[in-house]
Amino acid sequence: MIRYALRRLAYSVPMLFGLASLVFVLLNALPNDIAERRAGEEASPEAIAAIRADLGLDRPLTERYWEWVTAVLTGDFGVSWHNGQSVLTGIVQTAPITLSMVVLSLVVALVIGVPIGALAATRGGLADRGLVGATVVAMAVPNFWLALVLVLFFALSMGWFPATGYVDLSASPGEWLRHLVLPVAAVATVSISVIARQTRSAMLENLGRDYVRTLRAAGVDERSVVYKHVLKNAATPVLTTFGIQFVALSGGSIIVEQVFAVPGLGQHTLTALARGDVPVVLGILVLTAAAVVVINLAVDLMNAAVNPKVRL
Amino acid sequence: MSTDVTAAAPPGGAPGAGPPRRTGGGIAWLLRRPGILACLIWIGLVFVASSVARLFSLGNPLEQDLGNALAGPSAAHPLGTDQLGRDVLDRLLFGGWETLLSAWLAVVIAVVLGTALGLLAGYVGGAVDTVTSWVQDILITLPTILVLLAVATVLGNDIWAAMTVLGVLMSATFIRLVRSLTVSVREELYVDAARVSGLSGARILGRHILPNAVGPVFIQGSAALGTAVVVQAGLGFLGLGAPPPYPSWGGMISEAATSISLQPWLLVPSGLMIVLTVLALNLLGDYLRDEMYAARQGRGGATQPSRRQRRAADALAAREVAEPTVDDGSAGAVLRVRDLRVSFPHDDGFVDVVSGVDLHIGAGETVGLVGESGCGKTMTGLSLLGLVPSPGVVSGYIEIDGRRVSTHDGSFAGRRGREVALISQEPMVALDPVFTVGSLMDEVLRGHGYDRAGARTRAAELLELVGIPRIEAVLRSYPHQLSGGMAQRVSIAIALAGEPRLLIADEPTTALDVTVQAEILELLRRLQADLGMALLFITHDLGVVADICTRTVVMYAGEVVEQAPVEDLFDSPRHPYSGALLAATPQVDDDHDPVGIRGVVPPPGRWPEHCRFAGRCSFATDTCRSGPAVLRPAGPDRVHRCVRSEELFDERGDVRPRRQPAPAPVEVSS
Repeated sequence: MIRYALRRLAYSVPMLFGLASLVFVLLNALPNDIAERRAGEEASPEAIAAIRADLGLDRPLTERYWEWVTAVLTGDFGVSWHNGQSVLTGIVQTAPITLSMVVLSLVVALVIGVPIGALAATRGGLADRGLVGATVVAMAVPNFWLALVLVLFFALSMGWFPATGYVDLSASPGEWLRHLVLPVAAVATVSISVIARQTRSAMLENLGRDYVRTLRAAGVDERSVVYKHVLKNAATPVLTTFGIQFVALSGGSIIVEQVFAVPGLGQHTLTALARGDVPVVLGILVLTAAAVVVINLAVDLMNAAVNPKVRL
Repeated sequence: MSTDVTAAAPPGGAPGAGPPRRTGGGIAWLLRRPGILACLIWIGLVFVASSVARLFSLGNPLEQDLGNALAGPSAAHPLGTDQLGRDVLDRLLFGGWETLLSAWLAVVIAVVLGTALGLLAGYVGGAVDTVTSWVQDILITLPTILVLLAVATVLGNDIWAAMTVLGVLMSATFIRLVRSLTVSVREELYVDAARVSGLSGARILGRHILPNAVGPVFIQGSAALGTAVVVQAGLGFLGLGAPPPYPSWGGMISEAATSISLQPWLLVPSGLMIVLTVLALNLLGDYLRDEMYAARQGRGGATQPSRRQRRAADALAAREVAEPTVDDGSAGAVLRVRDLRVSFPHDDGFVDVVSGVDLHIGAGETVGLVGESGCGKTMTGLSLLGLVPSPGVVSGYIEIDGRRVSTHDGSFAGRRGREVALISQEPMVALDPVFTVGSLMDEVLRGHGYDRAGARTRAAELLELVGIPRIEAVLRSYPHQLSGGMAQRVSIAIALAGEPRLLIADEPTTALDVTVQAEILELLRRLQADLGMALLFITHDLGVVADICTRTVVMYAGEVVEQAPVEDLFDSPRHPYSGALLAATPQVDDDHDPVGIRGVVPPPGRWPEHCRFAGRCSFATDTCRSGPAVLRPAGPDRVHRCVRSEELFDERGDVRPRRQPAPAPVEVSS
């Protein structure tokens, strides 16, 4: 198990490095007119050149890359071009809000998605077709539109939940939750469907396996066959997609935050985007990708704990 | 179903179990699939309408009518107007063109890039494969929306650039898909053959591998198009789309959001447009996947049983078969089966895969059930455990240990494991991979009424009984840590846990090495002698039958064609099929080479009314094809189903049927 963990780690670290480098190159090597845009329409060529020099854009890419990489390794993601604030500080202030949305959504997606998938796989017939149909429709609904529809019904009409805003967990846990119900519902819907479908197909596949026949033939209780053996076997493929779900949910949160005016990473990103603040965007992107790599690693280790065959 | 494609087709008979030939062209095929048709119509409609509106400047998405702002649907504005009084339908169509086209761009990039890299990685393998899979992992890990926002930070608001980057990110799915397809095709014989015959790599890729990838890539592409539309709309919603005043679908939703209290209707047209379009694209992918799967399985598209089929199933299940009369020699046997049928849905009715089998096994008796693959042996065995897979219907009289088993009310529950148990073919997949042997045995034994300590002791006893050394270590092992032979011994121990009166062994040695085979057979023989169970031994290997069985039942095409004590059958088969099986079995003391049986077992549903073997029999005459062949008695404890048996086989018994002509190379096994 420890050897497996080390092997995964040996894969993840270069991966992280590759990701960060790719992102840096993407944001710095693409032909762009960022200095022109920052200088404004009326700016003289000299003013633009001054801005380029000021931002370090006139230096060779390799030099800038080396400087950035060595700085990042010490935890320094640079400062904002806009207000000189440390990139890391800005992220640390906003990321927890988005993260709480993502984690809540993931939990909701699991708690609702897995039972739906299990139900569809074991009931079959009309229940199966109904549930599968519902997931297909749910997957076609854009989260930001769903968010607006939820606001319309449950905030504006019913008044059950606030339409916008965010309250810190430390300020009031109840209000925190109340403000997150609608955003999380909007973000989690697609993930619920995806997880339900994966659970269903993994369970159906396992129900056809020989080991299920052996268990049944040996007189093992059908409930145990389905909910102990098949579900545990089906957990592997479902767990494996956690990293992808995390990516999808953070993307979803970033958009849905706009609907609810939640001051999370999404707003931070969009503000930086509007200001052409490359270091901030770069930092957000690299740290998010790093989070995904870490989650994938954790999922792999979890999988290895559940399924001994993975460790091979 | 036979997987042997090299076998010659039976003369004048049905070719293998291919899908029924499609009649009519693509239109007729589509008309029978309303789901696919509806998706295509919607996608086509949106695409054509928005292209026409854009290219011929029909309607005016920018014309303001402030006196008529935020109006609901009317004759002049079918979908209403927005806050500047602009026509919503015009704006939807105008924006749709860019949405669809840019989504299309992303998918084309993803498909081209992904297919190229996937082919390369799968075909070349080695370091190229490693690097590609690394790239693919990175692409999957990148958070899509954030990357697109970052690109927009650098490049400004350029939806085409954003969608190009999206295409690159989405190529990861296609790399994975095409790579795995390429690897599997590469490993198939015909690519080897092509390579041997000197085709260049590029031509192999283009001619043999690419065509296999087209279907799955198309299906994945349909779903990717849906994703691209959602992402494009999301970017539009965030303000990264067509710059105002030009419309985009996502931008229209964000405009609608600003007047959500005044005119909620505005949310409907743009939202529904996205939902329906994405739904149509996703569903299209799902439907096509189902079709491809069904075609591969050799079935039609419909998977739900029709009403007629359900009625037929009820009628079958309700079929009453009386207890066997006392004089058939089965009285007092552990297993008594009469007129057993196993039927599966087919076309618009049911077709038998086992049709009218009679069988009995006494305590301490080992009966071999033999025949080629596709003769219904395994289904017969599973029906005795109530484990015939779902749409199958079992009917007939089954009695185990003196008590009748109802075939359709679940009365098997509580009897499996105790009265009847199973050992299956592939020991490596027959044990749940995520539990240790110890916990599997614990669960099974606790189900049979042992307490924790008792189960532990009994598990060790059982493992000892099946000849496992280092019992403690095996109890702690996971199934994949055991060898095939060890796993099969564990399977046997699990089957014996409930002290069953009847043990069904379905090809228990087929998947094992020859030496291990002999050990397992020896074990079963010993257990049989010690425990005195009734043992049904299903196999296609007559050598194994000679080794272990007392009586043989030969099955062909779902029915028993001969039943005899082992020695009698080997000495003097009374049915040409038994003779042909014997001739196909290699024997040490025989200087004849084994001879295959020409043709293959016809699939269920293509079995003739007359003698089912006639199509492959060297001795068949018009008599054989004149009416159904019934079981005839032939001496004590012997029956057979051959009309010409008396003419063909003499009484002394050492005469085998003449050599079969045209010995096409046929695998007897699957």
